[in-house]
Amino acid sequence: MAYLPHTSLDNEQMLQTIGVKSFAEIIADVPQAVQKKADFSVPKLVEADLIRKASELASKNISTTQVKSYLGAGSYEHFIPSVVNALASRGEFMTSYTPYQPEVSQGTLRVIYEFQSLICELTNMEIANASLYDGASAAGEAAILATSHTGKNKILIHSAVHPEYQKVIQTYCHSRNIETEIFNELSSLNEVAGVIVQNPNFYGEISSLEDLVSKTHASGALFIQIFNPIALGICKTPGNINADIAVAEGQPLGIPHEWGGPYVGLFACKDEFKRLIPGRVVGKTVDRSGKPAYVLTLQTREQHIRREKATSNICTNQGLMALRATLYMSTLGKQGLLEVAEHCFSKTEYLKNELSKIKDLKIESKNTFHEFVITLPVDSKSIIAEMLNERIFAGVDLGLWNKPKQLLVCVTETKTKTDLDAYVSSLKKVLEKKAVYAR
Amino acid sequence: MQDKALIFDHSVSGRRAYELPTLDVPKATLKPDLKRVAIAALPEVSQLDLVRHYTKLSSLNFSIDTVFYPLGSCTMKYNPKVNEVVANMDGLINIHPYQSIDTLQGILQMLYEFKKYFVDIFGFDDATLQPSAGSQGEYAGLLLIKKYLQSIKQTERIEVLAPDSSHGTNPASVTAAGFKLITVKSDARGGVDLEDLKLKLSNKTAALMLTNPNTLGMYDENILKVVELVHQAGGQLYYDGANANAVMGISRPGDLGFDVAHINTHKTFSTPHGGGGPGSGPVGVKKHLAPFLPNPRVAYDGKKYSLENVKDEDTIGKLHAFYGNVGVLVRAWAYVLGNGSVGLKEVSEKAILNANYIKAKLKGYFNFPYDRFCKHEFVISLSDYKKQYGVNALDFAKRLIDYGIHPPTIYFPLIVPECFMIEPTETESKETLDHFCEIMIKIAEEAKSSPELLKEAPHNTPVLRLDETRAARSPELCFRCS
Repeated sequence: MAYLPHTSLDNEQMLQTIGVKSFAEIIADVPQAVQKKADFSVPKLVEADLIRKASELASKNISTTQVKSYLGAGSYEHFIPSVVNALASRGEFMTSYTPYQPEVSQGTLRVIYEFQSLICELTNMEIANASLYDGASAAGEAAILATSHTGKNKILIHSAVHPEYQKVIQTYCHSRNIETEIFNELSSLNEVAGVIVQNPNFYGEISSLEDLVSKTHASGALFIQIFNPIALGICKTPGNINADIAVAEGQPLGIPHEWGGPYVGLFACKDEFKRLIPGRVVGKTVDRSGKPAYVLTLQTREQHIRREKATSNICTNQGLMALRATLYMSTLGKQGLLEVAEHCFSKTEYLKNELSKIKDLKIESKNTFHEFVITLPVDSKSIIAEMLNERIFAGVDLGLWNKPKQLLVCVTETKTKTDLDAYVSSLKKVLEKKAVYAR
Repeated sequence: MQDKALIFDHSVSGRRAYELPTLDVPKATLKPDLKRVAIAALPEVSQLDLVRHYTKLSSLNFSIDTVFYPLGSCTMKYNPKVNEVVANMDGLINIHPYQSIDTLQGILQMLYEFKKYFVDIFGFDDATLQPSAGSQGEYAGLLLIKKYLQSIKQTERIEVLAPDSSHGTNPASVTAAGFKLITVKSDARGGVDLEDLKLKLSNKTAALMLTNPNTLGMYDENILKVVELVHQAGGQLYYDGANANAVMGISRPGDLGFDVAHINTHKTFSTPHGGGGPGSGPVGVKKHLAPFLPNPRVAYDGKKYSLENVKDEDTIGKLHAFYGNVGVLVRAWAYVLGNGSVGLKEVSEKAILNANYIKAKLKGYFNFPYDRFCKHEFVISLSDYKKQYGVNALDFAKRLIDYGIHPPTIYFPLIVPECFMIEPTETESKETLDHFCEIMIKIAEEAKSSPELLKEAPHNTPVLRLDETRAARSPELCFRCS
């Protein structure tokens, strides 16, 4: 067996050392009836056959490299520099454990410290943790922190927060008997611990949040912004607007689509909350010779020490994904991230402009970053199917959230002018075809 | 030259590690009131400096690919490289969560099949693959129990029992799920103390959370009685699958009577630990809990795969914005098929054999609190060494590092003083195990003759023992770039 080194001689010698004649003696404390039932059936595929089978299944999907994809809605296509894959796939990073023994984990610990620092610089927030599972659970954890800090028990969630994030936040809150309410306009902040707003929002729109922030703070509640890390290349930061907690999906930072995961939850906040934050945190210290060193710190917040009083039950987080994000941010660097953001923004404005010339379409979103909503004369589903024939993933069908004639279109730096012009002409063609049939 | 520990130390204004294509559309500018105040001062490094920096950092780590890692409860087995090949196939990695179902038939089939294998291996009826890690799996399992109890109008059941030997995530998940924790004692044989259990079970009991074999590496000799008592009291049974590496083909939690279980794919199913994740915590359930599984569910009508949704309010809600750590589940699928049932059964057998082999070889040198065969892991107490020679479990652990071995889990479970929890896993050869035992015995000798070697260990690492108190007292969590 490829992964099991035991030869029959090894077996013999080991059983002898243990002092038994057969393995059955070692597991005699498992009831016989239980052992008999424990059978199950899975075929075995040696490496070559496994790769064959996996390829078969992979070929039953259409990937975003085989078409032009304009899909966003929480998972974004960006160029991933080759160094990211090359370095993140090193076995010393990939097969190492959580850095509980710092003397043999300085690689991982320094990477996490860099990650925390880069997120702070990106968001202009004071501290960041080592990552959470994803953007949605990070928002859930932010809600819990707000209630712990303020002692109040209600969370307001803006209606333009990603609908699936709303569900996750509600799951996290309701199990802890924290009340939630969806709002459009901020009215009563009575008993409110935190206000959660996404900017750019689910529909791609960017707004000025200063007013919301001051109203929130006036009532003693915390302001939580769900941001987009690429947008922060050019957009106002959570730190700029005095947000208390900033959370996001870090997938745009060097992580492929992977059908929705594994991604990485970003969590940053004001320094005053540091003893309440969930998850791991790396700090700088010295070793006994005075040499600078990095170590997991403030561990008394965590489950392995605090148990039922821990700030969160999280243990394994998304370490390797945080490494990818760190590599991405370091590789793009100061100028690179700015350019990616400028390209996303400019190409989106270009496509919006060109599409606004098509008379059967309505572009709904005003100030946008890299996504916008269009209203179609027919159900998005049919347009998406036709556009697929043109080798284009036209956009996310908002029919999934009860808006069947709306499409959420995302444009990133990966699309050329030629691609965008092709999108416009293909969509025109498809709409004309539909109009002909409609008559 | 000063040690350039961080990427920021390599930053020089004007350097670039990556270039983008030229902008081929008119440059648009954001409204001034929406712009960030100052540009993000990310590092400016050359690509070569970047590659050298991170390659060097990687060499500062211990990893399974380089050293033996007998961490109890973590199952640090070999992570097969073929799983990486599979997970990186274009058709599996470059697929967007909201593509049309017709373009996703391959991934849906893969996850549907994995789910079938998962429930078969552990004896359940259905499952969710959505939880991102073991502790999120625990949270999901407890929510499923809560929802079920609501559906049969038994909402007064607000207590969840867990043994004093349980992993910290158990009580933390109990709190997250809105239950009250009741701790149950362990008996002298290392199992649940039946008398204490009977005392603590009541009509307020929602569930008992149990790991079996437990965190002492012991299979509970009264497991069927424990399950019976909890069910009789009206409670549900949650199986913490952290130790599932010991049970495949030997003891299915579903057969024992557990109602719900999670496993950690990054333990039993070899998905890489990644320095702290990503993992995955799929949760298996018996029929009565299945209606409450989170949306969406992968369905198959004999011809086509699809995603089904029931009313959200009838489920426990959502744990993840999309479908879970799919890329991790792909690796787990590859591992399960790469072994087959013949292989997986051998995995558990050899994991148990390896642990008992080390145990036998260390007898006479160390204190074993439980005089029984262990399963895939076991504990020793170093209290005697502390009393007689002043060296504790931490000192022993740090000295192992000097010999190129990652220390076992230390100071857990809490019920064993100066604890070492040792789990070799099945992928280690007899030679590696022999070497480990030699070193353990050698260090035991050093403890007697030259204890300062242990107290000042490690000696040969990139950094020596750290001042962790200082890190916690005055936390410095961020390098200021600007």
